Amino acid sequence: MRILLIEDDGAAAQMLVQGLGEAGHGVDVAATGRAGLELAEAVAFDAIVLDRMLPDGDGLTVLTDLRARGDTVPVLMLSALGEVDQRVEGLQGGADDYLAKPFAFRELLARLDAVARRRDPTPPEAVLRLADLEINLITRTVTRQGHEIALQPREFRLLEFLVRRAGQVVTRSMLLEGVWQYRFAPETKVIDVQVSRLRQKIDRDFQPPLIHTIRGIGYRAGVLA
Amino acid sequence: MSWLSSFRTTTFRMVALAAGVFAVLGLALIMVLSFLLETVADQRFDRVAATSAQAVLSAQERGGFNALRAAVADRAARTSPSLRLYLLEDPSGTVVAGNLPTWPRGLEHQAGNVTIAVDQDGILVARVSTIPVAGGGFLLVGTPIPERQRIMNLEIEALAVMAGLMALIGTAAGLVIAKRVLGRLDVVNRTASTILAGNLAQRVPVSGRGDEFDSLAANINIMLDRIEGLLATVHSVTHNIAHDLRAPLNRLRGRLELALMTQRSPDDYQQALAAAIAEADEIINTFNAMLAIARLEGGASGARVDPVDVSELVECLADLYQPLAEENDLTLAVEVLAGQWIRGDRHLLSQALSNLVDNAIKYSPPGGRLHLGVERLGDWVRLSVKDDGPGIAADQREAVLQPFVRLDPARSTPGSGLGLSLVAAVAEFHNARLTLADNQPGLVVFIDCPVSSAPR
Repeated sequence: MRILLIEDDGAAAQMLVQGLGEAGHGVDVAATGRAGLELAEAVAFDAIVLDRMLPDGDGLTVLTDLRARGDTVPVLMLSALGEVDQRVEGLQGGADDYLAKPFAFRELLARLDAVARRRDPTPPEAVLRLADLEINLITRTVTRQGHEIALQPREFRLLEFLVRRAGQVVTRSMLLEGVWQYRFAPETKVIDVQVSRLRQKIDRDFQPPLIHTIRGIGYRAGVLA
Repeated sequence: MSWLSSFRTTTFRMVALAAGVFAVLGLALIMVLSFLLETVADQRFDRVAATSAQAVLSAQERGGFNALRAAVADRAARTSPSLRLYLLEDPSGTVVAGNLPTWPRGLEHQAGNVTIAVDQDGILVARVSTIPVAGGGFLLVGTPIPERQRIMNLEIEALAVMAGLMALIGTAAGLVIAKRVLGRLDVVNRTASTILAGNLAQRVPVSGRGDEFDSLAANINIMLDRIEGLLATVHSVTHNIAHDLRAPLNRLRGRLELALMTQRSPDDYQQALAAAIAEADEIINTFNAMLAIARLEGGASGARVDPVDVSELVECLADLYQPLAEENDLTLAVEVLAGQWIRGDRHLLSQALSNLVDNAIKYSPPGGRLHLGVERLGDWVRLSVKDDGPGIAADQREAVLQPFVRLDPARSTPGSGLGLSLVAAVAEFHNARLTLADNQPGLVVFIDCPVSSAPR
């Protein structure tokens, strides 16, 4: 993907450029909101990473300017202001996601991936498929190799969330947010236990495994190549 | 020293004020007194004049103006002008009889009684009555009052002496008052100086008289108690922050150093780095919790107050924690009264409850029972988290709400020691009552929130 990074902190920008580059993305950097808006007009980026605090004003203004001229490029906002109000402001201002500093770099990658894909309109489906797994969203049943697997409602929602993002890394906090609408980090391994329960039912009696742990980051649904 | 100079100027001001007030009061006293004396004397003279005038005017009634003139002339001839003054003018304004050569200068031709300076024949001051004569002309009857001049001179002397005396007394009184008042202020000042010099245990002595100075001293002492308490808290929190952050930073450093010590396989490096990241995350979490507590205690900018269905919230949290509880061989029972709403921030409430459930799971031995509840107590909604673990001793329940306080001195269980502080801050933010109690055995935590109606 080609990504525009609007960030005035040189050290932070350098780190992000290196990380995003190693993840296979092309990165352009703008140190001010104005430079960012000019670049965004000239180049069709796949996503923009926008810092909230910029030398020439609030990143939120850059976002509203961008949306005002009809640009629908996915935007992930970064901010040290992690409190709920700022988050809501950002999302209402047209951001696709909001990430509070300090963040784990893989969290940024996973969320960037997610907002960029959200752009492709996926038609509403009745059935989600992943390899030999079928999720019927109408009857809320799950089958694998034709065998029905009994899931509890929360397990169903968890599986749906993962399969909808098959091939993408989904972090624990994305799961907490997406499935339970929580925005905090529990001290215990609640999410890991939830996923391992689900995995027991989906993967124990079948091959190949469909839910994979990405150490230190989260999970990915899919068939390993 | 500045308090000394202010002591001096304040003394000066108080003394000057007292002296001034006394002097003015003394002068006013003399003036009022002399005014009263003069009025009484004048009234007597006026009565005498009226009687005399009546006597001569009765002659007119009998024999006309000429009889009046004769009567006045008769009286004037028999009376020395130093005892009584008579004067009669005819309608044309010519003096026709009397023991005064002319109508006194400045005396108006109209009925009335006045004190005037006559300045004729050695008579200086006189009280005169002017009486219009029927058919024209004026009759003047007066009494010379040479003593009035002497009295006035005396009064001026008395005024000067009195002013001096009063100023003196005022100064003395002012000095006494200033010494007493400022002497007690001085005690407060000296205490303040000692405290500024570093001795925070010092207190302002209370005299026991129960006056304004005592209540000032008492208030200052209460203030000092507060400050001392806050400083002690800041001190211990700073100490704990330093300790709690140094430990994970040391572990992080150790891990990284160890990883660098010998050549390792990429897999080992990855493992070491992942462990380092986990360690760093723990530090970040501690900072985030500190920030969240500070924000909440500082008025919670950024937190939202919306209607929150706590019944749904607790059900949802139970749903999230159920597998983890089972994994730890614990039963998690949920007893929720449906449809209970409060006003607050859903995320903060979830965070607080999740901290409590995290703790309950962490400290419960296998086979334990956890209980999450929502019930209604009048105007309050009670959220409860119970376990049957080791519990918290009654005398420790206050302390564990303080930041970084952990009952395990070795701090071997994971966690920042901020979990319960955050719960306390969140409860405070929601105007909720937080109670830690004995579950016999185990711990029960109640969060009682003011109830709110469901949104339409």
